[in-house]
Amino acid sequence: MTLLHRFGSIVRWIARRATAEQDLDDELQSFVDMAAADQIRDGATPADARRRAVIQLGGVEQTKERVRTARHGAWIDEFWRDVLHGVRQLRRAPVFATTVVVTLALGIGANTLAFSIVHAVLVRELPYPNPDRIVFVWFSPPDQPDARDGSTLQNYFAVRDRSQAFEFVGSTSAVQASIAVNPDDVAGGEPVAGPRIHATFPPVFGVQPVLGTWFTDADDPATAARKLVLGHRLWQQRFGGDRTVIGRLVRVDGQDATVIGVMPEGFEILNGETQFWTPSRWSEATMASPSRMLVVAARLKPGVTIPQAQAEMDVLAGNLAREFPQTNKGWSIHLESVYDTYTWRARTPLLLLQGVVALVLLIACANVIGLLLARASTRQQEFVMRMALGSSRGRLVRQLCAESVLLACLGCVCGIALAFAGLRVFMAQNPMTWLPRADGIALDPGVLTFAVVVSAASSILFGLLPSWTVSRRTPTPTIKSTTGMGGVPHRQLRGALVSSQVAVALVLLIAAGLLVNTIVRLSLNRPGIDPTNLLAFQVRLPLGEMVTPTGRDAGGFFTMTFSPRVSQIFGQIQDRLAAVPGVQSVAASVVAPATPAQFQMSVTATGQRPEADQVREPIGWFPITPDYFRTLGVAVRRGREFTTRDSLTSTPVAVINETLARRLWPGEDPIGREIAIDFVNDRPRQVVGVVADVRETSRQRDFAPHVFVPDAQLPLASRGWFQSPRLTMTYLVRTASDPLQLIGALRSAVSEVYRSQPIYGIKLMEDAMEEQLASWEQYLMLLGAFAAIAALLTIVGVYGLVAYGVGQRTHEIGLRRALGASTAAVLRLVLKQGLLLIGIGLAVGVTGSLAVTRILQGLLWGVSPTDPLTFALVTVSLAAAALLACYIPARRALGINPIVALRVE
Amino acid sequence: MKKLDVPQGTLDLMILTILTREPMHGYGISQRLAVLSHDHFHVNPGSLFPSLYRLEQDGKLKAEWRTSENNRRAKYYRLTASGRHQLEQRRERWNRVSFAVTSVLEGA
Repeated sequence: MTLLHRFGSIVRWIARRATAEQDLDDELQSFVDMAAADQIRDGATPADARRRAVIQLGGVEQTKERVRTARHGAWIDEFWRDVLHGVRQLRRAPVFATTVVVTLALGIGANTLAFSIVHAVLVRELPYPNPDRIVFVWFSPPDQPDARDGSTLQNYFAVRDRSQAFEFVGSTSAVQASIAVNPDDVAGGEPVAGPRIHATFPPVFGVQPVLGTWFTDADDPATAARKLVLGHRLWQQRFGGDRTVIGRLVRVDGQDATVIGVMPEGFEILNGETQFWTPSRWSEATMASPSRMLVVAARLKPGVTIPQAQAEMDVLAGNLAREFPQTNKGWSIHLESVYDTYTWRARTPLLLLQGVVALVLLIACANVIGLLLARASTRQQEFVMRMALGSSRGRLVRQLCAESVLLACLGCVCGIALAFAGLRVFMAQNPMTWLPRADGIALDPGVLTFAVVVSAASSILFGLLPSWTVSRRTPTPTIKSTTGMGGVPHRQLRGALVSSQVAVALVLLIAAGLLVNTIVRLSLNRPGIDPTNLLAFQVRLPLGEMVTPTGRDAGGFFTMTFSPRVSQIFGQIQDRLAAVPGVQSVAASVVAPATPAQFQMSVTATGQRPEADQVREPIGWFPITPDYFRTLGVAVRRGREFTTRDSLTSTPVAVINETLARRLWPGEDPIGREIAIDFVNDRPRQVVGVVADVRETSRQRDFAPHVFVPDAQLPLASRGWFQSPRLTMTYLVRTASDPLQLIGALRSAVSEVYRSQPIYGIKLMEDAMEEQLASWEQYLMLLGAFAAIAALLTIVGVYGLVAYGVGQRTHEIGLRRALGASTAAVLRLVLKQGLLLIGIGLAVGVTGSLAVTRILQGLLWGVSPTDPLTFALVTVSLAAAALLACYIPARRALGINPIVALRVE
Repeated sequence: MKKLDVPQGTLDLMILTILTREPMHGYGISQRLAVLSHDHFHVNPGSLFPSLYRLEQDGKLKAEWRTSENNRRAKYYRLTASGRHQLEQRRERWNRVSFAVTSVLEGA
């Protein structure tokens, strides 16, 4: 028979199933009738004849069952009947069904949610051709071979010109500029972030502009600086996606520039902030700068592997250390694939998250197994009856599996719904700020497939075990008595479930506890400034009006003169702001406080001979205005802070922090000493004050050395491409009450001084500092929520299993009570077993945690992975909750009336 | 005399053979089988009906409800062309098997 024919007969048969069932009934009836008629003819009485005929048939139901299973496609029919039967069974036990479905939905939903994040961030292909050939070239300081530091100019050119392994080498560095769409708009809009970029950067990634062209190497430095390539977002937002934008004249920092290209959507480098690109040009003059502000990326030549290129870089690093010992001694180069660079930060937290939800699902499955076991026992009569009526054991197992599949399907659908809701909440928290590639998080087909596979796997897990215990039953002894259930194998399985659930939950809770401990310590680890009622906002002066280009120096480097009005205007704004009622104190800085230092200079103490081979450590450099430390609430340990008398005409001065003071003059008084900063045209400065250390971020454990200079004393004649930030000032305003009430007054105070200069980037320092923790908090909340779900499921599971055990022993307990057992004895009887199981679970959990929490090392801050306090607190809490879960059923056992209990039989 | 079990795989062959003469119902087939086997075979309906249903589903038999000689309604099975073809194949194979087995037993 052909396959098609067989398939056709299956389909026909399924279509006629209802009539076929009736047909079979009729046929067997007719068989019995005919057999009975023959018996009567042979002389039997009608009743006797009928009885013998039925015996000859050998059981109507059994025969029917054999016919059903003999048919082709019987399994489809069987499965369908099992599902319908399962639906009926579940509708008959709504509490059981709801509990199972909710438990599964939590487990599956959590896994789906976590996987949607893992998928978008770690699994999804990078949007570049041959991404495996793109590498980042990181420079690592001595003793930190895995650190990712930027490149100096010298090193970048060395990598670009001397390596054989790369097809393209490019570099980028972050800048901010205000871009005015209308060239007549002098002020420009809010500054946007964008890198200055070397012409070969996009070829490294294999990305072409969607409109226009990219910079070419041949672009003359003088004109190339006036070219601009737009990011997709900026193009959409500020230029309305205008396709005729190429060739348009816009103003960048007050200077004309021509738009030559638009990059495609999703071309992000290191983060999604990039909005435009301008070309970079350097000259020999800045080559010696120790500043490591370049990020270098390269495309490997076809056939070259990362280890081969790494070997070449190792040699190069050695050469660089000899040629430029001041910046390179002890430094190494390490290549990292673009995938690793994008994801390394997120990998451990996300894999941890996925691991945690996997454990949550295991606990959920254990709970469901417990529920199914309890239910299987109460359904024992049904199974025995069906076996007696001709169902094979395999048939019963299949039926139980169908019910499990049904439950898993419901759990899967509800789980996906939960994941969908959870994802909306998660995305509303704007995870893009801390999670790379987070914009791609969605419940796409890949994620949904994962959800279905997870559901199927869990249905096998929780479906097979109870089926197995059922299939081991033989009908006869069980049909005789109802108290024989919950036998030894059952009890062992239950015990194992309780212990393992407690163990897994304990591991999760300890991990969550350590992370909570971390967040508490981080939030206590304030940077060292007082953020209460402290407002920060930025004011930017137009480059075109404040800076006069003066050509190029001998090295071919752009030179310029800053107008003296820059510091005058900034000073006047500060005075006006201080006069606003409600303002207690005002200061300003080119670098916002409590953020990573943006500028690093090498600083040497005059009189100390700079060793030729001494590694020059870049030091955080902060141009500030008077009253800075008073406004921030930073203690001046020695000397004074800057005043309005520190000007271009007075003695050049500097303030250093305690860490730098210890570094330069250990055990000596730095006041009155002289330092040299390698800032362009800077003169030696006299140290007039020492201030308390301030952290750059709340995750910074040790303090970094900082040097502060008066903004008014920055040399007017300057050069180089990193000068324009001098025109952006971050004002810090300390007020008596809520500073947000004063924004209107502050805004008009600024505009009184300098036309309609907008203020932007308004932020409460409290919020800004919270933000640093926010990403952590979001992640830890997620992790903590899953751990809490796990704990809750465990407690419910332990309660269910113990309560079920007590229910099974109602008869025994009643008997003991009737025979005079005391209350305490009964309580002990019930609790003893539970305590033992919980004890085992806790012991295993603590041991497991000691082994496992080491994974957390990189995520913890200020807490050891085996922190005894966390371990103790969490263990005791879980033990208490589990005990309570045992105690409630035990109390109920005490309430059992012996008479009733004995009648249960 | 103790009844024999029907050898594996021969029930279909016997059912098809019985039905070559005339269409017949299940009870008739089981009676006929007993008579023709000189009461050595007594087929349990639990074996007979699954075979009948499978043969019908495979298109070897066609079934229809009719009134029997005793005025009872019964389901009559009739051989189809495909069933006749299968019968010839099966019979041919059985002849060879039984000839072979008999030869071995007698030749030993």
